[in-house]
Amino acid sequence: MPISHLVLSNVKASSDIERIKIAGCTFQTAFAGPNLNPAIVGVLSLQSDFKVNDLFTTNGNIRSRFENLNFGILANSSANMGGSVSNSDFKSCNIGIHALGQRSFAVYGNNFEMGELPAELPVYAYPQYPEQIGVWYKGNMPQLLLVGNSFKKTGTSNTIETVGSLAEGLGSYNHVFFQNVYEGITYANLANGSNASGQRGLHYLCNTNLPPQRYDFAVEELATIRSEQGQASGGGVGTFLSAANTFSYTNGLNGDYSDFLNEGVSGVNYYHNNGSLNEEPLDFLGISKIFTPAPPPCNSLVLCPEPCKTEAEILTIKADYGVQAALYGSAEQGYDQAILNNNAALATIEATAMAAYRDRMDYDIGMVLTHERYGKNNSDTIRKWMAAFDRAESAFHIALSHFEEQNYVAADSILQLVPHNFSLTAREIAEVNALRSMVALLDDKVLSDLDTATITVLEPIAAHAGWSLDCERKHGINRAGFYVDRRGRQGGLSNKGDIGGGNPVAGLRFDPLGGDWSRVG
Amino acid sequence: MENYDSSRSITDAFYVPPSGYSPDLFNIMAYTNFYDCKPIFSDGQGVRMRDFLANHPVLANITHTVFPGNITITGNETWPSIAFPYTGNVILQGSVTIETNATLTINSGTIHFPESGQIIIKPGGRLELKAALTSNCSTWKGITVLGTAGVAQSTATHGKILALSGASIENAAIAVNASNGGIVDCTGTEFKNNRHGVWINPHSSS
Repeated sequence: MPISHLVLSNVKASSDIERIKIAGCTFQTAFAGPNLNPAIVGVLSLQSDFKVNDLFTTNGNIRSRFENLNFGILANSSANMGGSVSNSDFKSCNIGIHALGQRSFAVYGNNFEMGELPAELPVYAYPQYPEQIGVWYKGNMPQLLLVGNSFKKTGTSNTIETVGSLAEGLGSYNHVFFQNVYEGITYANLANGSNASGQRGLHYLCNTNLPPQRYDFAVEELATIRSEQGQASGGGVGTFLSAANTFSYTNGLNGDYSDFLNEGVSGVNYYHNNGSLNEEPLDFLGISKIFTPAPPPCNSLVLCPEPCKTEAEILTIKADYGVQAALYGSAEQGYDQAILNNNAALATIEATAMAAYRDRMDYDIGMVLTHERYGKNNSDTIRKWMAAFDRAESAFHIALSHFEEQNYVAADSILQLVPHNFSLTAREIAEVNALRSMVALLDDKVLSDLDTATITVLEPIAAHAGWSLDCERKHGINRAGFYVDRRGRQGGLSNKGDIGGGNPVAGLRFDPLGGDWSRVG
Repeated sequence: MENYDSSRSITDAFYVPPSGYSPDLFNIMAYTNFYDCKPIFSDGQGVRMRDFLANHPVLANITHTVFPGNITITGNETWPSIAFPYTGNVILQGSVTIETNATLTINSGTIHFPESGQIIIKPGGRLELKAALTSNCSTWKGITVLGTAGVAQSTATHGKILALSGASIENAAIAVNASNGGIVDCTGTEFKNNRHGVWINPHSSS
């Protein structure tokens, strides 16, 4: 039974990304026959959003495949363009995915088969790097994800040098390369250029390295990665949990720094926990090991291809939405009664319950929304389902689903109609106004484009706990990708369609100051 | 019958036919050495050869139909159709243009394009592809999906290609070239030996 979804609701979803869709396609060169036409690029995207993934069929998922190419996917953008590549296979390509200046770009659940290149491929054009690279991110850009991918040497060549992930000049955004598996790669993770500024920047969490590898982590001369390689603990500034990467220990302690070679300009504090699980770097240079007693929080995640849920499970979740909505209504009545009776303690209890039920409702909707979107690409299906409840609460959720797509105009069009379509309590009217205020604040912009003054207003809303009108607004900006905070919430559920702790993307929070991602412990 | 020499067989190359008997001396099967080149097939021979090729498990796919000139789609058309009745290998000698508000659906067969050949989907036009597109000899240009600059993508204002399982595009310079927001939706499609598979050009709706 799958235990998690891989939800990318946080990634910017413009209308364009729905218009360039490549699912379950094969891009390859066959080096045979008289009409040889060596392929250079499978998918080339210039200043555009796009989406490459697998194709869901009743007979199983068909993964997209890129084989015998110089570039599987080459995305180049200096504008606010994003995209995603998921559940695809890359084999015998010089570069699997190369994203230059592409923001809001997610690469997850892909397989990179390396260690083999056809001799017939045109000459590789980047002699400064090994001739085969899995994912190459380049440029100062926010909101990059590299999650749950496999980089494995499957070819027989002993001369082809390989790189799993290459980060080049990503700036000081809190990028996380998370839960990837590397096996038999020359440079599993390679960083070049400026990828950090002090405690902000690229960090590697929960990745698995398997032998033989020359370097599990390598930082080139004059390059930087985040000075603190660990997970934010939530315990305050400067406290970190284990990075929870495992090392290949390929060459033992022979002094070649194969676990972690940091030749960059700054030292790195590396937080680790249990050495018996290969989580302690042994052969390293340029890092300081810091043992942290906190248990590694990310060593048992099971990824599954979407859609994880069966139709029967989705039906159960849909039913649960109704149950939770009823419970929410009861708690709401209790809260109102407690306020009337001036019973502050009871009001607090009921308010906490309301928040928990709302979380659960959000979870249900997130799951169904993801399920319905997958392969169908039709969010309206779920909106129709929600509308069938014919209650203001459902209308709020429909509006919030538009928040999730950062379609604030559509959200506001729903909210405008709520007071006319339903008989609202004073607080529900206030909720509508609170959410509409969020629409005005967001001003139809992606979050990373908001100005500092607006972010200053949003931050305390995003961090708000418990029940209040700000809680509604928090739901709105959470859905838009601003902040995901499970701490102190009942049920351990976020509002992003995940089960707490089971989703590599949930638990990542948007850092409004940097316009990027960091992980909440 | 006066010239008939009964000592010679009818299969003899030096056979002189009797008066009044005038076979086609250019026929491939002509029993004569009067001409070195005998390129002519009778109608009956043609029928028999086509029938043999069509029913031969290996040779069935080598039959090609040549379609001259350019093709412009102005309405909703599904190939094979009355105007384009071919289901096997077809060699186009020009390009295909799908006009605004027109839809071309290609359900089967393999279409071969010349080096200068291409499919152009104009804004508002649509191509639904379930067949194979390839080159005739070297490469062909591929499919260009035209959109509208500065306008948010929609099928009313932008061309669209919908390539489905069973579709394949081979030997193109750019198999699918999306320009100004041309809409690309490819599922289960095979892109093979194209210099570029899908090329997505810049587009902004703002």
